[in-house]
Amino acid sequence: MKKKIGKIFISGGGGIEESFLLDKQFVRSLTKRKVLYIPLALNRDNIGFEACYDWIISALARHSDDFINITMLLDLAGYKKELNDDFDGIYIGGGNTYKLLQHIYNTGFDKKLTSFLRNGGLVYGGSAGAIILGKSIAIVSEENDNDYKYNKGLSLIGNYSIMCHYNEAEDDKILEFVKLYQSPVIALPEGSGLIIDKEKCEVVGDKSVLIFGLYQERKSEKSGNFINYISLTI
Amino acid sequence: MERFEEKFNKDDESRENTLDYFTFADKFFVEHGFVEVDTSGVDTEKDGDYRIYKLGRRHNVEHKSGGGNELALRYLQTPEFLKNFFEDANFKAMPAKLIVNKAGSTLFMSAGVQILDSIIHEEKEIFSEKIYVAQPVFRTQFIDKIGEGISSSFINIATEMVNKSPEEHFMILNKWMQLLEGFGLNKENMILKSVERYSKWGKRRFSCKILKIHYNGWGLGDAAYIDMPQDSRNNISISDIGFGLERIKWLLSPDKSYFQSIVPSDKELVEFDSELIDYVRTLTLLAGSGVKPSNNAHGYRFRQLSKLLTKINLEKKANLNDLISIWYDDWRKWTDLPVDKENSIRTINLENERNFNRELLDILKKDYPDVGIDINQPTTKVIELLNGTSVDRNHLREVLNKIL
Repeated sequence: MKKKIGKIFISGGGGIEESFLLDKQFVRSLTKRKVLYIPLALNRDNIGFEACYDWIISALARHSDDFINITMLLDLAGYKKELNDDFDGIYIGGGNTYKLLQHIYNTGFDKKLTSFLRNGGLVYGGSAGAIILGKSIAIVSEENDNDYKYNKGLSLIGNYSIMCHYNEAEDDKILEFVKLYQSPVIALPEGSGLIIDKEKCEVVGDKSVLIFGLYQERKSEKSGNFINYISLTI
Repeated sequence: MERFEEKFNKDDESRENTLDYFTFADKFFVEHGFVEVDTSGVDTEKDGDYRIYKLGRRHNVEHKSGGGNELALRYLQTPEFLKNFFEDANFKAMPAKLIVNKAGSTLFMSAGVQILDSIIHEEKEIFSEKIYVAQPVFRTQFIDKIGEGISSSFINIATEMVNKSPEEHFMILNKWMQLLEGFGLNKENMILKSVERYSKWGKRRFSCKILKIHYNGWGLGDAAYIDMPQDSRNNISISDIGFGLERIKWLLSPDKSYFQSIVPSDKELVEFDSELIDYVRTLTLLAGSGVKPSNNAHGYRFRQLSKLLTKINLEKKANLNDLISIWYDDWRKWTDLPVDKENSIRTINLENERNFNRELLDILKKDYPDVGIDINQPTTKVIELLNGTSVDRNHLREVLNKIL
């Protein structure tokens, strides 16, 4: 029997009102309603991480009449079990993209994530959590404030890199990145999102998504569109 | 996406405080005989770039037993000793806040410093007193790590000061060291880790200098000197020094398990495992504080803990009422519980029953996927209704014998 491959949900960032529609789709796609929450892109102390947990509950719980079991993971290296046995969704939150990616590679969690997707898991990336899923995170190179060594993202969307919190003022920066890294960019403003599986990509949210191609061309994709040239590559 | 280009410590006063901080930190290390350990080549990335200090070899350790661990443990059974100790040092002992946090950046109290939430977040009037508080706190992040040394709720004993100098901060830390040594926690087993970092509480992003105190490898507490930005006034400095009371009790009880060391002295909990004890303990604090189970906000944590408790208690079938009663009486010594014991027990049992029904149906669904019954009713009623479904009665009996 053909194995069911998972999906990734990519949010352009912002607050829980901006990501309302994407969050709703994510929650409704959960069958076991068990989510692993990774807020490690953030620099937080104990109080700060408690607030993160409050936040994720408020973001996801409102989309379900049933209880959603959310586990916050602060020690990726310490998680030894098979992710698919315990969860059907993983939510990777925003913060510093470089810090997050370094932590993921250093703990080998990238392999766990890929395996989770291969076995039907759903991965939600918000902001930094979304950017790491693309080809290169150098699109936010200004965030490398601590000599982090990894630029290469998890490359789950082919050659595409991801830009979140997009606004027009960043066009020049994106065009320069495309040229330098030979990677087309999916630019998501706050309030926009994508759901990507092995066959297609669906635009979800209040705002359109902009695709910056390799030849400096741009294409706007509005909510409800299915983009057949973007898919999950695992 | 978080931007890190924000600059802190802009004004001269803050810069001066930063310099002062390190001057007094060094003085503190010297006075206590701590020397910096060479950590070059050690990967400290996991939890920050720390400077690590241990007791120097040549330093003469004066072993102060403080009258022995037994006496110290007796002192720590109730709030009075610590309250008197800090009042004698001119601190004002504040009553603990209710675990449900109404004004701060988190739904529950998770540290003693949150006693200052109205000053930090609402910019209310700054008081000049030095504050001591023994604050019950709840940390969700520990729920899946319950075991030796770790519980989801504990009492954070803390001193808090606003706009006091680094010199005063270290003077108070000296007082804490005096207390810990008096209890019998020797400096030679301590490691101090110094780090500067940025963090965020609610909308407030701030910088702080932290000295973490570890004992025999376990985090005992920390002393944070915080530079907190404000909207309508200059940055305020906060001295926040706090320790986990339960960790102290445990480290003073080398022959006891963590939970055996924190239970009231005349009680025995040997028949229960750590997770069960912990979940009941925290649920008791929540129920006594008026939290009702639900699928979101405060009630979410209640339901989450009850689900975990119900799952691990399925085949153990422990009667929890006595345990709830023990913890209720113990919490009551430290904080006001607006809900009485009987109603707290009732709330916990009702939620446990609901979650038991869920577990029962989930087990049956493996063989009877179409069975669906409202779980918000007594288990006896659920069983009665199940007898009217396609579920084989013998199978149902077998399952119930195993888990009920």
